[in-house]
Amino acid sequence: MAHDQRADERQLIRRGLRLARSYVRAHPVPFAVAVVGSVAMAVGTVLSAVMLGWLTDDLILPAFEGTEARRSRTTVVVAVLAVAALRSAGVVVRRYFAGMTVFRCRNDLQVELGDHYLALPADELRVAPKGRLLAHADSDVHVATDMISPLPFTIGVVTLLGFSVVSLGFVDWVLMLVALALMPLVAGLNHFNAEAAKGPAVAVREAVARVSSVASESFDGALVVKTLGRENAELERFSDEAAILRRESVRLGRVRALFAAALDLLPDIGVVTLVALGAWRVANGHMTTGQLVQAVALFTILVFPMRVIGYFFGDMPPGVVAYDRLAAILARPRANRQGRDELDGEAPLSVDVSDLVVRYGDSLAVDGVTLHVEPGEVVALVGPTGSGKSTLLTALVDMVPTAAGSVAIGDRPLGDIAPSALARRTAIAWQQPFLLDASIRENISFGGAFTDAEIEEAARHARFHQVACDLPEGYDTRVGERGVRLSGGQRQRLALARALVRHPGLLLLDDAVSAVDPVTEEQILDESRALGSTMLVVAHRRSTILLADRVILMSNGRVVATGTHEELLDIPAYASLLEAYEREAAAT
Amino acid sequence: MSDVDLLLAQHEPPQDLRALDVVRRGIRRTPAVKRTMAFSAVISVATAAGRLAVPVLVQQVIDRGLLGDDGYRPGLVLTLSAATLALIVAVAVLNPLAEIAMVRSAQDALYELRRQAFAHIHRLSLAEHDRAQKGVLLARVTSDVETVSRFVEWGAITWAMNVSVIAGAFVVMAVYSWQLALVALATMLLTVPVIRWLQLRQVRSYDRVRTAIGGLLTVFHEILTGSDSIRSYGYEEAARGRVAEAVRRRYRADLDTAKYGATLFTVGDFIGAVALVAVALVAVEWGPGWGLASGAAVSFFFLVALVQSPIGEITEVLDQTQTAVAGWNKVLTLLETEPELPEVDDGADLPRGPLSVQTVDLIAGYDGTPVLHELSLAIPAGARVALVGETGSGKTTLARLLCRLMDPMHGAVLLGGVDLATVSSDARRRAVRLVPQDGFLFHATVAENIKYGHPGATDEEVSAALAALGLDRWVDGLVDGLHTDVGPRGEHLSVGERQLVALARAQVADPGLLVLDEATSSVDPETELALARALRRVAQGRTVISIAHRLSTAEQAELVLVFDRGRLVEQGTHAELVTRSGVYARLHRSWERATSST
Repeated sequence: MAHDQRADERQLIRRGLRLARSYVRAHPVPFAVAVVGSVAMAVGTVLSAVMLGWLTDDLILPAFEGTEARRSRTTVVVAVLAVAALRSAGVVVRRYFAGMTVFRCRNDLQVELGDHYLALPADELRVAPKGRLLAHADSDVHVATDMISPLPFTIGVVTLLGFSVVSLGFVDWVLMLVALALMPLVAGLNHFNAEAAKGPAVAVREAVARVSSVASESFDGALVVKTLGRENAELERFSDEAAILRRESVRLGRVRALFAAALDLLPDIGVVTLVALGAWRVANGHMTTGQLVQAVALFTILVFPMRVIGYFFGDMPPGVVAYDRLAAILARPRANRQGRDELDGEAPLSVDVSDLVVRYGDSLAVDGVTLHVEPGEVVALVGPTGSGKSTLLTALVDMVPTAAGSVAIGDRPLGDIAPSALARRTAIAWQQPFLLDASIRENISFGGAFTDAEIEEAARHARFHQVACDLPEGYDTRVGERGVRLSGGQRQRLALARALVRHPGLLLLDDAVSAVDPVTEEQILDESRALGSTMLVVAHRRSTILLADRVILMSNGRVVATGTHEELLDIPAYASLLEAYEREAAAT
Repeated sequence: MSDVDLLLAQHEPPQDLRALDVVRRGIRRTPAVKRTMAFSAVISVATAAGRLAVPVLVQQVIDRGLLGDDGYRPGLVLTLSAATLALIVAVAVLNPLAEIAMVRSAQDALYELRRQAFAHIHRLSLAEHDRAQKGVLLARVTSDVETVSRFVEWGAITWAMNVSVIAGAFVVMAVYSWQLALVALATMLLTVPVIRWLQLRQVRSYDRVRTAIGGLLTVFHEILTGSDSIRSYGYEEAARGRVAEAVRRRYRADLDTAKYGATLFTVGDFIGAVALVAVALVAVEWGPGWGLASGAAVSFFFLVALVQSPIGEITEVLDQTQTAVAGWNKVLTLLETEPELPEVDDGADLPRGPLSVQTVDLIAGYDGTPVLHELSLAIPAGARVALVGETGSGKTTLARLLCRLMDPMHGAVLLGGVDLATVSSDARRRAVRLVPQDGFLFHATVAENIKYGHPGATDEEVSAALAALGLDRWVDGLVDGLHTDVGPRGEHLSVGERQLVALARAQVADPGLLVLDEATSSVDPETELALARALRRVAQGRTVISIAHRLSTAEQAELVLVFDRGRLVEQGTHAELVTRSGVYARLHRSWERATSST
C-alpha cells in the first residue's frame, strides 16, 4: 500500500513536471523573464550576504578596531544599495512575470474550456452537473495553473543554493561541509512534513464540504424548518459536522506545529555550530571575522531555498489532479455534425419522421414515431408528461442522438443539413427560456444580423414590444441574471421574439407560452401562424389545440392518434387528458 | 445564478475595517478567542527569543570570545554556544505545545461561531431569508468562517511571531545602542506609508478582478445553461467571442493586481537595505565616540536583517488578514442583527381542536410597504376556506401571517381568540401547520420526513396518518415503501408526491389550522387523484385555508375570499360569487375560456 502510494506520488510529480513544461512552452517569454528576475534576486541575495562582510571588514572594523580597509566607504555604500536594488528589481520582475505566465495559461485553459463546452453534444450538456462544470472553469483552472507560479522562484532559488554553497566554499571549506550536511536533513524534514499533513488536509477539506452541504440543505428548507419547529434538530445535525471539522482542523494544526518547530530548529542548530566552529577557525587565522559574519548570513539564506523547493513540489499534486479533471472534460468527444447541405429560400419547410427511436439510458423516450407535416401546416402535440413530445421536437433540430429511424426537414435528411443552415431556417422555443446577460436587442438578434425594425416587429408579434418600451433603457436594457429581472411570461415572450425574428421555415414551440395568460397566448399564436411557418406546438390548453390544423396524440413515446380536435375527442385517452388539463388550469 | 454567486464568494475583496473593533466584538461572542490570543502571545515571545538568540550569540562571540582583551576564549565560545543551543531547543519544545493549544482554542471558538451563526440564520424571518441571497447566508457559516480559520492557521501566527520579532529586535538594538536603534527605526518606518499606499491600490484592483471573474463566470453559466438555445440558433461563434472577451477582461484585471502585489513585497526589503547603510554610516561616524563595541555594531546588521524578513512576511499576510477580518465582521454583523420575529418567552397556549381565525384592520407588508390593506375577516372554526386572487393580490402574505412567518405592521391575527404574536412557539407549531407549494423534504426516508411533523411520532402513528389520508397504497408503491430515500431536498420524488408527504406530515401533527399552498406545476393524473383525496381527508376536523390555484378548490370551499391588489374585495360561496359581476366572476370567466372555449 505505502509503496503504491509512493509510486503514485512519483508518478504525479513526473506528470507535474511534464505539465509545467507544457505551460512554459506555451508562454516562454514571460516565463524566461520571470526566471531572469529570479536569478537576479538569487545573485542579489548572495551578494547581500557578501555585502555584510564588506560592511564589517571595510567600515566597522577599521573604524572601531583600527584595522585597514581594502575598499573606500563610498564604494561599499554604493555597492550595498546597488545589490539591494538588484535584489528588489529581481523580485518585482519575477513576481510580475510569473503572474503573467500563470494568467496566460489560465486564459488558454478558460478559452479552451469555453470552446469545448460549446462543442459538446447538446444531450450530454443537458444532463451535466452545471455547478461542477462551472467550478472547473474557476477553481480547477486556478489550481491547475497556480502550480507553475513558484517555478521561476524555484529555479532562482536553486541558483541561489548553488551560489551560496560555492561562496561558502570560498569563505571556508569546513563551514561549507557543515552546511552540506544539514541540507539533506532539511529537505527530508520538508518531505515528511508534506507527507504527514496530506491526510489531515484532505480530511479537513472533506469536513468543510460536508458542513457546507448540510447548511445548504437546511437553509433551502428554511420554510419547512420553521413551520415544523425543527431549528434545534437542524442545529444538532449541523453541529455534528462542525465538530468533525473542528477535530480534523486540530489534527492538521498539530502536525503543522510539530514540523514547523523542527524546521526552525535545524538551521538554528546549524548556525550555533557554525559560530562555535567559526570562532575557532578565525582564532587560528583560517578566516577573518568579516568572513565569519558572511558565512553566518549565507547559511541563513540556505534554509530558505529548501522551503521554496518544498512548496513547488507540494503544490504540484493538487495542480496535476485539477488539470486531470480539466483534461477529462476536454477529452470528451465533441458533437460530430458534418452536414453540408443548405436549406434554401424563405418557404415553410416540411417535416418527415419515420420509425424514429430515441433512447435515454434504458428507456425509450421516442419509440418508433412516423409522421409527416406539410409545409405551412400547424400541428399540436398532445400527451401526458413523459410521452415523448419534447424529445421529438428536440430530435427535429438534431439535438438528441437518434437510435433508429430518420428525420428529414424540407425533404433533406437531417444529417446532411449543415448545422448553420438548420439554425438559420428552424427555431425552437422552450417553456424555460434562456436569456443572455445582455441587452434585449442582443437577446432577440442572438447572433443574427437584424435591423432594429425587424427586431421590433418580432417583439410586437410576440407581445413583448410594450414590455421592452416600459423598461428604463428600452431595447438596450440589460436583462438576464445580473440585469433587470423579467417575469416568467415576459421571458417566454422575449424568447419567442427571438424565434420569430428569424422568419423560420419551421417553428417548434415546446410549451413556450405556458406562463402567458390564455388570451394573449391566443393572439401570439394567431400572429405566429400568420407568418406562414410550419409549426409544431406542444399544447396543454384547449384554446391552443384549437388553433392547430391537426392534433397528434402521443403516449409512451408513440403516436397514438392523429386528426382534428373533434375527431380525437372520441378517443377516451384524449378526452380524459383534456379534462385533466382543465382541472389543472390556473385560476388566474 | 447561485452557482456563480457561490464561486464568486470565494473571490470576495478584503474591506477596510477597524480590525480591533471586530476582534472586541468577536471576543464577546466567543470568549475562547481570548485563550487563543494568550497562547499566541506565548508563541510570539518564545519565537522572538529564539530568533534573537543567534545575532546576540554572534555579537557575544565576536566581542568577548574573539576580539576581547583576552583574545580567543574557546571556553567562553563553547559556553555561549551551548546556552544558545539550550534556549533554541527550549523554544522548539515550547512553541509547538503552545501552538497546538492555540489551534485548539481557536477551533473551539470557530465551532461555536459557526453554531451561533447557523442557529441565528434559522431565527431570521422568511422575508429576511428571501432578501438575502441563499448563497450569502450559506457563506456566513462556511466560507466566511473559513477565512477566519485559514487566518488562524497561518496569518495569525505570522503576525504574532513577526510583530514580536520586530519588537524584540528593536529592544535588543536599543540595548546595544539607542542612537543606532533610532536610526534603524526611523528608516524602517518609511515602509509604512509606502505599503499602505500600494495596498490601497491593490485592494481596488482586487475589486476589478472580482467583477471580471463575475463576468466570466456569468458567461460560462450561460453557455452551460443555454446550450440548447445556443446550438439550435447557431450562436456558438458569438458565444466564443463572449468567452474570449470575458477572459481578456479577467486577464487585464489580474495583471493590474500583480503589479501591486509584486512591488508591495519588496518595499520592506529595499528600505531594510537603506536602513543597513544608514546604521553603518552613523555607527562608523559616531559609534566609537559613543563607546560602541564593534561586535555590537556588527550584530546591528543581523538585527536589521532580522526585521527585514518579518516585514515581508507581514506584507504577505496583509490580504489574508483583511479578508479574515471582513469575514469575521460579516458573521458578527449577522449575529448582531435582531431577528424580525422575536419569540415570546412563556407564550400563551392555543386551544385544542379546530381554530377560528379573526383579523381586525390588519396591515402587513415588506420593507415598510404594505401589500395587505386593512383586512378584517372572521373565519369560524372548522371552515374550509379558499383564498383566490392574482399573483401579488396578497393571499400568500395572509397565509404567512397565519403561520407567523411574518408579523403585521398594524392589527393582529387572532387564532381561537388568542393573539398569535403572544403565542409560544411550541403551541403555534402544534396547532398551526403550513403545507408549502414546493414540498421541500429533508434528505431522509419518507417515514422520517413524516415523523419530523410531530416529534416523538411512532411508526404506527405514521402508518395511521397515511391510512387516514388514503395514501397507504401510494406508499406501498414506492421502491422501499416507507423507508424510501427521498434524496436531497426530496428530489427523488415528484412535486406532487412531495406534497403528499407534506400532507401526511401535517396529518400526524393533528393541527387545528392547516394552511395549504396548492402546487401550480402540472402533476401526473394518478398523483393528482391521490392528492385530491388526501386534501379532502386532511381537512376533516380542522380549519383549512387554501391558497387556491385551481378553481375546483374554490368551487368546493365553504367560503371563498377574493383578493385584489392587497384588499379583500369579495367573500362568499362559489355559487354566490360567480353570479356577481365582480373580480371572482372575471377570474372564473378567464379560467373557462382557457379550458373550454370553442
